[in-house]
Amino acid sequence: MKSYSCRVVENRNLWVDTQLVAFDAPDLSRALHPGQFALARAAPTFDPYLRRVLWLYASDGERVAFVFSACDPLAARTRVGDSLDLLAPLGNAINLDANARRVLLIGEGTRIVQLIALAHDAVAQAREVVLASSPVVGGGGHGVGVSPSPVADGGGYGVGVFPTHLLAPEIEYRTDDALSAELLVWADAIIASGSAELYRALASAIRAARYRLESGFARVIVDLPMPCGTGACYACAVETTRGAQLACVDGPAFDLVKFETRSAR
Amino acid sequence: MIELASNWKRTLTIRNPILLAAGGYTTDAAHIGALVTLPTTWRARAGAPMPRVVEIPGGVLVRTGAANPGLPRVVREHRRAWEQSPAPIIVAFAAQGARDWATMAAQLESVTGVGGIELHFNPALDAADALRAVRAATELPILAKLDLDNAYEIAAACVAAGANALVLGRAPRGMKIVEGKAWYGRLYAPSVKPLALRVVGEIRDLGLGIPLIGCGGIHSAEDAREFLAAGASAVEIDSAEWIEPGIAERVATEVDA
Repeated sequence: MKSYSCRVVENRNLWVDTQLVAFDAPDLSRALHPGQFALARAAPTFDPYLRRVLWLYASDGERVAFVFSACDPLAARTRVGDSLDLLAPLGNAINLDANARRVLLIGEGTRIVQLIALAHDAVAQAREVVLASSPVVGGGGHGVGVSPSPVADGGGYGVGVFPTHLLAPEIEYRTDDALSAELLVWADAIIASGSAELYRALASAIRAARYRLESGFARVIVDLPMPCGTGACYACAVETTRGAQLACVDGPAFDLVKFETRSAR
Repeated sequence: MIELASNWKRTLTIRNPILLAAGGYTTDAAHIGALVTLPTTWRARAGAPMPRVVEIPGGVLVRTGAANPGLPRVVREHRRAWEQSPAPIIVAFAAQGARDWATMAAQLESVTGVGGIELHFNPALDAADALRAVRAATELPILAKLDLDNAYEIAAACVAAGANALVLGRAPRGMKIVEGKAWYGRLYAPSVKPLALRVVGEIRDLGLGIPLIGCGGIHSAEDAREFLAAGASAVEIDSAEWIEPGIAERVATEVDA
């Protein structure tokens, strides 16, 4: 993790209540990989107090774009030309198995934005990618009062069609049943982002469609408020079959087999 | 050099008055006085249900429920790093595991690098009883970290029961209505500083004869100097590290200058 001071080159609404902020920052762009995030200082004062989680949306080695809640004060107060204080990279990159030719990405509501960078990365690696939008099934409640974010509320706010012109043509975007047996059998690897309810449903659906849920087959992104991002505060501890693990330093993606969904409530 | 256990046979000497509080289990600090770990219990704790973090204007309420991996795992994973730490390690014990404190203290007695333990009290605990039990179990210096709510009332009893230093204090408990229900957490914010400063000043005036360590709302060298001026021998920097990682090192350097 390093500290970066980056000048904002773009700050706009991306979709529903998701904000996109971009920087011309080659060092930062090259340091980040799909699945990782940055923490942005929200104000030079201490109001808002906590840093904001910015999820990697796109990175090309020169420019890097993140997404976060458009409802967050950071969205309104940030102007093109401002410098933001960022800590990055945080969390572990999601590396797909070399043998995974068919990749299913499932996003619940607006949490689908956390999977876009991974989708494009997988296409660049000549994998087949289905990006499936799941309706919101989670009850919400994560991080109440902190960044009422589409990526921190346990499932996203709205359900709608993601603007497909923002997706590479090789990505198949689906809005029908994301947990269909057809898709679950087709996939070599699954990455999901959503609520604990979605993850429970996903585990059940995989067992029904494939008869078993194998380690390494499906990973889920745990998105909780992460005050420190470095493992110091333990606010993002989750229970896994390997004991308590931290979303910020051990995640944010966990093997669905090892993840006990009760801890994401 | 500052001695934090001046009334005890085993010393806890720090070279700088800046301590990093609840800093996970890190040892990455070259200049600060000591590293205080995340509060730990004997057995692993999954912690509180969500939400655990509720932001308010100018601060944040946090309720982790003392989520931690348990002392045996902490010692197993960090023993080597602690041995090589340039600053003493002070292992914090969470109030939720108070019944195991004596066992935990005994376990740490011979761990190289551990310079002391810090007991986190809340008003529900009988501080004097708990301190006597831990005192009997270890010769490690004991820091008693008190709630600001009742620190003044129990400070003298803590000293009599064996505390070598008082940490003033734990983040104050607050409440917010979340989804129609009362939700309790501890407040981390710059605005905590005046509350903690007052308690440091009041307890200094009791003349208890042991070092006081200020903690609460410290986000700059100037904040730290205020606590030292109020009578603290040292200070702990806590949530400011979330906002500015490395701030404890920076403040330590600035206070030294």
